[in-house]
Formats: sequence, structure tokens, C-alpha cells
Amino acid sequence: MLTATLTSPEATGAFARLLAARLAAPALVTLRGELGTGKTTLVRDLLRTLGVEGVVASPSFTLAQSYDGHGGLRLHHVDLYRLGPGADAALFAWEDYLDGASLTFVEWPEAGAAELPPADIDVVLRHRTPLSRDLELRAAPAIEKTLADAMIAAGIDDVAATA
Amino acid sequence: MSLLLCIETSCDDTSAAVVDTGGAGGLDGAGGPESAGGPHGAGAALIRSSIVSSQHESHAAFGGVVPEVASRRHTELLVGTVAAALADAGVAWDDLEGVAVTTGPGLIGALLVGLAAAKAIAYARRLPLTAVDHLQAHLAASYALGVTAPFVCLTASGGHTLLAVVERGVEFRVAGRTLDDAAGEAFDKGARLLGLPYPGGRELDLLAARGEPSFVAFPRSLPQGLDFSFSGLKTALLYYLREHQTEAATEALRASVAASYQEAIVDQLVGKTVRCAEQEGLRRVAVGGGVAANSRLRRRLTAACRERGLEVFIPPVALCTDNAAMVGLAARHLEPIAWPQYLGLDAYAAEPALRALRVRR
Repeated sequence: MLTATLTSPEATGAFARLLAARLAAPALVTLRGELGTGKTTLVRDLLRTLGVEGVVASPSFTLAQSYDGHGGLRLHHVDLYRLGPGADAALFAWEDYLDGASLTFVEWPEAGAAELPPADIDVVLRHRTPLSRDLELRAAPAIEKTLADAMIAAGIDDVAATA
Repeated sequence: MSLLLCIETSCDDTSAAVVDTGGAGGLDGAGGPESAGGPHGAGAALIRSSIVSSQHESHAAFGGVVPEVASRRHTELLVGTVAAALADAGVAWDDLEGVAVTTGPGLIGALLVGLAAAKAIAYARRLPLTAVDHLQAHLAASYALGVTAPFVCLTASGGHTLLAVVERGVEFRVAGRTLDDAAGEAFDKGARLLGLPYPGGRELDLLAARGEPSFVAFPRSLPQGLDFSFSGLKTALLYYLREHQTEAATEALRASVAASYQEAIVDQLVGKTVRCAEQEGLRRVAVGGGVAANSRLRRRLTAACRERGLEVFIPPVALCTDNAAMVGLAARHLEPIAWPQYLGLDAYAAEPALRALRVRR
């Protein structure tokens, strides 16, 4: 597991650029955390880095929004917030968003836990202060290691990788 | 007289309406048939019936809207809803001269139910079919009050927050939009943080009515220009509630926190809408979408427009929330599609009308 403190929106942006550089399709990235921890903001930063232009609005209402990134990369931004607790996520059209060729970002994956395959990268954000967030990231050990090194080099606070 | 059967199934309400488009014309874009009497009676008289079958009970068990549940319920409710719209209007199938339907944006499965039904009815009755964009339908709702283009229209709902300059009919240019959460999402998520039941927007409005809007000074730092942002406000509410747990627990103070939060949303919506009208040199302002049901927004927008000598058009709540009558009001300004071309129509989830247009700063 990799942990760090994101002390500002700029630090979150720097982290997003480093993470985006390590993503290759197909992959599933899940983002967990309470309301207001910055899940959508982080996905927006990731999508920007991956080549999405224009507005990236919250998909809470539409549940999913798809984009084209650099080099024909297909990107899906899914938000299961509206499914709520106890919803039958089997009713969600997963095959459209986990198509084996895209990068898929899923906020509130808890609501779809029974339907989702294991995430390639799982991100947890927790409130620390109004501006800073505690980050927890789980990925393959090699990715955690190189990402942690890059984050330290970029000056991100409290970076630690533990087996 | 030219009667249109209108169908709208973009989200979780199944709606049908009969709208009189006042003859085959009505494409001049000036805002409806000028011959039909006074400005405030003209549009309203065109709506012969409007039926909305709400699915809220079906979704309450899930704590939210589930797209596939919405699609199934549309399938179950649509035939009865259409029959009720015809009966309510006192109209027979033979009286219809066209069908109009929402093709997007919205939940794709839900839209497809309405579109398939509309195609089937058009085919069976040998009628032309008009495809209507959901956002254009919201803009057109104000034509029921007799607004004339050009005008500024704020459309705010759970999925959209759009400041549009309506130039002619339902042709519009985007002046501002949300950069993160929609206004309705800000209401619903704020309500959830305040511990109010789903759907929270209405509950928050009711609670806020008993509170003091200046109780908490929530941040008003906004994006430049006419775009909106609500995500930071939601986080500010969260931190306020965390830091004042005991205080916020008393009912009166909770009402004041709700009122202050609502005020921050409404300030932004009203401020930018009025500024847009002034920048564009337009004298008429309209509003649509589910958030336009918010009582504080209706009052504040009315006051702000009166203060500046702007004419304001706020449709009744039933025309602001999703309904099929507004689909007919929009269809008056669109070209009907003949058989067999309409068979190729498809539904769309995202907003091509917005993506195609450059956002003006």
C-alpha cells in the first residue's frame, strides 16, 4: 500500500499526472471516500492529463460519462453515488464500461462491489483538513514502488510504500 | 389547430402530453403564434394535457435512480400515460397530426423506451415525428408564459446547469455552465449531508424556509465569467457540519445552516443569470429545470430582475420539472421528420448541443 498526504489542489494535480503516466488500457481504477474528499476532482485531473479537453462535469446524475483521450484512448467516468446502499448493481450496464479496451474510473465502487472485478488501482481519499487529504493507494507492488519514488521526487508530503 | 402527441422519458418520470402547435407553421422562431391572444395566455392555452407518472416510489427502495429500473418502469407506465394524456385532452388518435419525443440527453435505456414508442405510434398512425433535445425542451417551457426570443434562460436540474442565450425558437448559444457538480446535485448532496431524506432538494427548501440565510457565510469564490461551480460549496458545508456538530443538531440551527447553504447556491444562480442578461443586453430572463422549483430561487430571481427592470418568466413548477408538454413547446420550432427517415433516429446520453458549441468566457 502507498500512502501520502495531498496538501493542496496543486499536489492532487501533481499526483494525478504521475498516476496517469502509469495507466494503460484496459484498467479499472476505483476511487473511494466520503462526499467532498475530491474523488471527482482527482478523476478530472487524470482525464485532463490523458487528453480530455472541455468540461468534465460530475457524472453523479447520469451515472457514467465517456470521453476520448490521446491516441484514441477510450475513457469512462462512472459514479455509482445514485445507486445508493442496497441497490442491485447487476442492473447497471457494466459491459458498456468494462469493455476490455478502455480505462475505467469508478467512484463509489462500494455500490457495485458484487459486480466489479478487482481494481487494478484502488484509491482511497480521507478528509484531513478543508484543503488536505490523506491518500491510500493499492496497486501491483512494482507500480506502488515507482509511483512512490516519483511522488517523493515531486515533493508530495508523507509518501510511504509498505508491503 | 395542429395536435402533437408528446413523449418524454429521459430520466425517471414517464410523461405524455397533447400540445396544440397552432397550425403547420409556428417555425418562425418568434416565440409562438402571436395571433393567439394576450402574451400570457398564448402559450398556456396550447397545452391541452400533460401527464407525469412519477417513479419515485419504485426508486425509493434503492435510495436513488437505477437506470434499468427506470427503463422497465417506463415500459410499464408509458401506454397508460399516453392514454391518459389523450383522454385528458379529449383527443382521439385520429385528431393527432404528429408525434414529438425527447431523444437525449439522459439515461440511454430510458430514452429508448420513449423513442421506440414514438416511432411505433408515428408509423402506426402515419404521422411525422419530431426529435427534441431535452435541454431545448427546458428552454421552450417559458414559451408557455409568452416570452419572446432573444432571451436568457437558466436551466438548472440534477444533471444540468446551463446559462443559455436563446436566439431564435430553440436555437441557443451557451453562455455558462457548471464546471463540476450540477446545481440540483449540490442541493441533493447538501441535503444528504444535513441528514434529509431522498430526494433531498425539496426537503432542503422546506427546512431552509425556517432558517436564517445569513447565519453561515459559505464561500462565494466563483469561476470567472458565467460558468458555475458547486463542488467547493458542498465541501464547505461538510466541514461546517463537522466542526459544529452539537450546534447543527438543534432544529433551528440546522434550518439556518440549510438556509445559508441554499443562499450560496441561489446567489450564484441569480447573480450569473442577471449578469448574463446585462452583458448580452437582453431584457428578458427565463428559467427551467427541476431546481427552478426551489422557492428561494424563484423569489430571488424575480426580485433581482425587477430591480434591474428585466422581464422575468418563471414557469409553474409542473413545467420546470421533467414533463412532456415542454417537448411539444420545443417541437413547434423544429422540423418534423417524415417516414421513413425518422426510423433512423437514435437516442443519445451526452450533450452534443453543448459539445458542439464553444463555451464563451
